[in-house]
Formats: sequence, structure tokens, C-alpha cells
Amino acid sequence: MTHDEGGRSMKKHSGMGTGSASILVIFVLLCLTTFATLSLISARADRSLSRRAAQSLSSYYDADCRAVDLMAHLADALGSVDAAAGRERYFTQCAQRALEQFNTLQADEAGGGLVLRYQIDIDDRRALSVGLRVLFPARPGDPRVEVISWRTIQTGEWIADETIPLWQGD
Amino acid sequence: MANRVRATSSRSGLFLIELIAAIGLFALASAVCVQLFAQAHLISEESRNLSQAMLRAQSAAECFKAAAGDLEHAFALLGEGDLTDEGALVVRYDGDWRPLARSTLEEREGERDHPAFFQLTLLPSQAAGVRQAHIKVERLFARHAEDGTCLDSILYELWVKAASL
Repeated sequence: MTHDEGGRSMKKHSGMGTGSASILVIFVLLCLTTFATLSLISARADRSLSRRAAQSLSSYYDADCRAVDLMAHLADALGSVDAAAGRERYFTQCAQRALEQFNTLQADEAGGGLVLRYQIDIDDRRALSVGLRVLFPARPGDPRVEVISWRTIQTGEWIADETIPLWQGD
Repeated sequence: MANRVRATSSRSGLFLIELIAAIGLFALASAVCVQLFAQAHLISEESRNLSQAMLRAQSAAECFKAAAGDLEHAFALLGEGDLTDEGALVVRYDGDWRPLARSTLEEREGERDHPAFFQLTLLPSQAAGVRQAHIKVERLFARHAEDGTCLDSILYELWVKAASL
């Protein structure tokens, strides 16, 4: 108990005063709401990323299936080329046959042999690039082509982000 | 003295009312927040399952391609699952995407708390000179085991082809 100048007594209160409970609750609720919103936003971003990855993978395997189909058709088409006329003539005929039937192909001579290349679009920024070497069949049942490359390449234009000033070393 | 008692009583009453209001507000807001957390958890589970399904399907697809479409060779490369009488490769997983051995499945067949949660099926077929396979990853609701296994909710599926040159 203390006394002020007028002699009135003032009681010192201990413990929580009026309003402190409200302040505490508001603080706790603000924290709770913030964390709940952040976790929801993060989970949605993860889901979106997973869906895009799934879409990308499906696109890749669609392109892969088309590339395999084209390769099988190509192997069939080359299977009817006569190998009896000699190695050089065989490769010339193979190139002609392949280019006649599949206008998207590119035929290159490499090391005395023939390499066929084609691309299948995966999406607007990627393509599947396939390279096949045409083999000269020693016997009738031998394989006519072998895969020498099967890879994803970037086809979209790459735009450099120059918005951030970087140290150039000076 | 009477005034002091009245003032103390009034302050306590005010604090009590404030406390009740604060508890009410907290209950309301926390109910909303718990819903948000629950929704975030479900979305997170969904994306985790999709990612896992995608990885398993891709792994099976690459094994099929590496085996040039030969199912038994693909099965040996994958190293998990079973070949069924229908000519399919089936792999079952528990809730944490761990592959389940056939012995575990046979032991617990028909139980209500069956351990299998997900199933990968690779079904091969022949089309126009190439071997192809339909790969499907599904959620398996094993709680319906009394009525037979209930398959539902395809998580991910893809087609893959392998050329035998």
C-alpha cells in the first residue's frame, strides 16, 4: 500500500491486467494464421510443380513412343533394300529410300557408312534427337540399323536474365 | 472500503468477460487454421504420391525399354514385384512406397489392415512391329478387402514402346 500526495491509497496490482489476454490471443492468432497460410501456399506450389513434372514426363514418353515407331518403320523400309549390289550402293539406296519415305530425316555419310538423324518435338522447348547408324547386313536376318544417340535437346530460344547487375570482375 | 471492493469486483468481471471473448475468438480462428493445415497436409500428400508414382512408372518404363520389351528381362531389371498369370508385372507398395514382398502379401491376404496401399501394373502388348506397355500406378484401398480388392484413383499412367531391331 502506497500513499499519494492527497493521501489516497493506491493498490499495486499483480498478475494480468485487463487487455493483456486480448493482446496475447491476437498475437497467437496472427502467428497461427500466418503459418497456416504459408503451409497452404507451399503445399499448393509443390502440387503445381509435381503436376508440371508429370506433364513433362508424359510428353517425353509420348515423343519417345513416336520416335520408336518411326525407327521401326525405318527399319522395315530399309529391310527391303537389296544388299547384294555392294556396300556403297547399298548405303546410297538406303539413303534414297529413307529420304523418300520420311521427309523429316537427315542423312549424313560418316566413316564410309550412313547415319540417319531425326527430331521429335517433346514440347515447345524440347525435342528428342535420335541418331541411327545404318548397318550393312552380312546375312539376311542381321539388324539394319543401330541407335547411336537418343537424347533430349533444347529447341526453345534461351533468353539471358540481365536484370540483376553482376560483378564483371573489374 | 465498499467502493474498493466494488472496483475490484468490477475489474475481475471485466477481465473474465474479456477472457471468455478471447477464448471464443481463439476457438473460432483456430478452427479455421486447423482446416487450412489439414488442407495443406492433404495437398502435400497428393503431390508426394504423384511424385512417387511418376518415379516408379518411369523406372518401370526404362526397365521395359532396356529389356527391349521382354517382360521377364524387365522384371529381372526392376528387381521387385511379381509376374501375374495375365502376363503383367505387378508391384505393390505400402503407405511409404516401400515395395512389398509376395510372402508378406500372401500372409496378410484378406486382413482388414492390409499393408498394400499402391500398385504399379505394367501390361505389355504387341503393336505394329514394336512392343509396347501400358504402365499404371493406382491407389489401392485395401480396407475393402472383404468385398475383394478395390482399385481406384489412378495416380499416374503412361505408354512406353520398345523396338526390337
